[in-house]
This record gives sequence, structure tokens and C-alpha cells, in this order.
Amino acid sequence: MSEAEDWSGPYYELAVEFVPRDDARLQHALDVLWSDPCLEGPWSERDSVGDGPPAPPALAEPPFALYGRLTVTRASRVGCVSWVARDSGGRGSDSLTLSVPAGMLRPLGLTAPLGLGEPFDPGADPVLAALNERFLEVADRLYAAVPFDLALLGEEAAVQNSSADLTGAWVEEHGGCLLPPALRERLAHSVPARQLGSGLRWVPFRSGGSRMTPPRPGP
Amino acid sequence: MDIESALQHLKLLANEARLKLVGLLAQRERSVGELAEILGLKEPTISHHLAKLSEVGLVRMRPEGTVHFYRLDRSALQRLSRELFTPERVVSFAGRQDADTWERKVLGTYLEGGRLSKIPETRKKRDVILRWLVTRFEEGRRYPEREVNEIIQRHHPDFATLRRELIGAKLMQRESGVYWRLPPAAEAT
Repeated sequence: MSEAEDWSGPYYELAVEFVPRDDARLQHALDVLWSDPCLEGPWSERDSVGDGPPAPPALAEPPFALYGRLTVTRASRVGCVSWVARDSGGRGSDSLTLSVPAGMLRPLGLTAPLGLGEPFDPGADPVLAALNERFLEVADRLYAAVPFDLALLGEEAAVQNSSADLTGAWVEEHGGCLLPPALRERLAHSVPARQLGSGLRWVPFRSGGSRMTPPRPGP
Repeated sequence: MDIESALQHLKLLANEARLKLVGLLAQRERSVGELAEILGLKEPTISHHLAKLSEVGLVRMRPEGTVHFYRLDRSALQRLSRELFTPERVVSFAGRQDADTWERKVLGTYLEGGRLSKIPETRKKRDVILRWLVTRFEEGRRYPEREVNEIIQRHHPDFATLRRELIGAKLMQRESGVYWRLPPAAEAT
């Protein structure tokens, strides 16, 4: 890319989970994600973003990162990265995350504080609000083509929760979730949600910030 | 590394699971499965944490068949520590505290999704915008005027004024139609 770039995190993310683990579906999801009209790429190295034509996203042994650019508003594009993680336990699961580093958002005028106790709040920062809306559009198109089991948005969303562990109480406390009809029915929560074109329901952030309470590691 | 970069790095590391991973990998090389078992987290969660640590170069991965082993890159840890915690660096964090807050406010007022709503009339605010604008150019790289115009135009249509202002503020230098960003020490404050 011709502009000076800062790829450093933390990251604002769209994290999508597919259950069970399925090579063909994950490959299809990668293809759909990277052919989204708001995305350009991918390239396998972040230093090569924009140099030469992008390569089709090929499923490799995770973890692997693919880099590209996301159009946030009509006038602004930022570097982004997709990550894949896979769970071999039980029925297994695949997780596909699209992340934008905070360093990319600063030149757009990100005003969100970077303090440790201050979660990124799309309700208080226009740049994060625009990015959040863009992620919703991308997720809506992805779900229409490759239905997923859960999507979480926000700061470090990829490590926050999973469809198996999600509860109605968690959704009501945190929000920031895109719920497919089946999961919404199982949770039977009463939080207002916005319906998207694909049938997904967006539950907005509940606590003034996008950083939720991740599962804590053991001792 | 400016204070915002330092905060970004610290915020990235300020996670219980991530710090425990760093500690475990400092002991010895381990697989994702082993780390997941020790920390009681799912493998994808561990993989995401490792991916973020890998992005800042703190961990390295070695594949062995289908299993991936991770280790801590001690030299990267030492480098990060030097960048964050030299006495000079720590002193610099306090130096522009008020200015940083005010500058963020100015940027928030004049920038909308990376586009400048207008060029500020007051010199002080314009300088803030110019210091932001110059970060769109890589240090050490030479740009033909056409490319300079192109980059500025992504943020405001009046590229000629802003290009002149960047030179006037001693944030960029020009010679024979070629432009380059001046190193921070030479930038106007």
C-alpha cells in the first residue's frame, strides 16, 4: 500500500463460528468473505498488500492469516486481516475472523481512548460505528451464502464466546452478537434486536463498550 | 514509538490468557492442544491469542506434521521491552499529555471516516491536521508530485493547498518535483 500503515492491534473484529468443522464449508466461507464488494484481497503477507494481484484464499493448516483492505466508508480503506482457527474436539468447529487493527483506524480519526479499562465503544466513536456497520453488512452477505452458527462483533471478539457456551443472560448483558434464527430460538432472550436481510438478528452492545468478558483461563 | 502505539501494544498484551501464554511459552515450546488443556480454554481461543502474539512477533510457530508448536521469541520480547520501557521513552509519555488530548479532539472534529470536512483556519489546528496528514506518507520514501496529490486527494480535494502547507510546516521536503517526509526530529513542532 502506498500510505504509511500501522498494523498494530488491538483489533476490532467480526468473528464468525461454524459448527461442526467442515473443510469444504470453511473454504467456501473464505471465498465468499474475500469476494465481498467491501474487501480487496487477499494477500498472504501484510507487506505485500496491494502489490500484484491478490491470490484466491486457499485453506491451509491453521493458524493462517490473509491480508487485504476493507472499505469502511466511501472514502476510506483500511488494512485488515482474516484468521482461521479450528477446534478438533467434539464435533469441532471452525472460526473465521475478520480483524481491523486499531493502528489502521487512527488515521481515520479514531478518537476512542486506548486505556486498558476503556473498551472500544462504537456508540461513542464515529469511526468504530462506521466499521461496525460495515462488518454487519459483510456478515449479512456471508450468512446469506454460507450460514454460520454465531457471529460476534467488537474488540477482540474472536476470544469472547462460542455458540455452544452462549446463554441468553450473556447476550442480554453484553450484546454485540449476530444471532441466526435457530440460536435466537434456543436462547429465548428478550433483548431488542435488529433484523438483517439474511434473517440474522443484530443485538447491539449493551454495556457501552464492545469488550465483553472473555472466558478466563484456568489457574 | 509514540504514546498511542505504546498503549496499543500494552492493550494487546493486557489479557490474562495472553500473558499466561507468554509465560508458558517462555518455559518451553508447546502445542496448541497442550496450551488449551493447561489454560482450560478451547483450541480456537488459544489459536486466536497466538495469532495476535504472532502478529507482534512475540511467538514463533514450528509445524511438525499436523501439529503446530509455538515458542516465545525472546529477542522480540527484549526489543519490545526496550521500545516501551527505556527511561527516555517513559519520560516522553508524559511530555505531550494535554496536547495529545486536544489533538485527538481536533482530529475528531475535522475528520470523518478519513476525509477532512474542511481545512482549519487557525494555524494551531491546521498544524494538527498537517501532522496527521503527513503520517499518510512513509518515512524514507520518495514520492513524485502526482502520487503526493493522489494521497492528499483521498482526504481533501484541495491537494495543492495542503501539499504547500506540508512543505511550509517543514513536515515534507521537495526537490525537482520529488517529495519526501522529513524525519520526526526535523519536523516542526
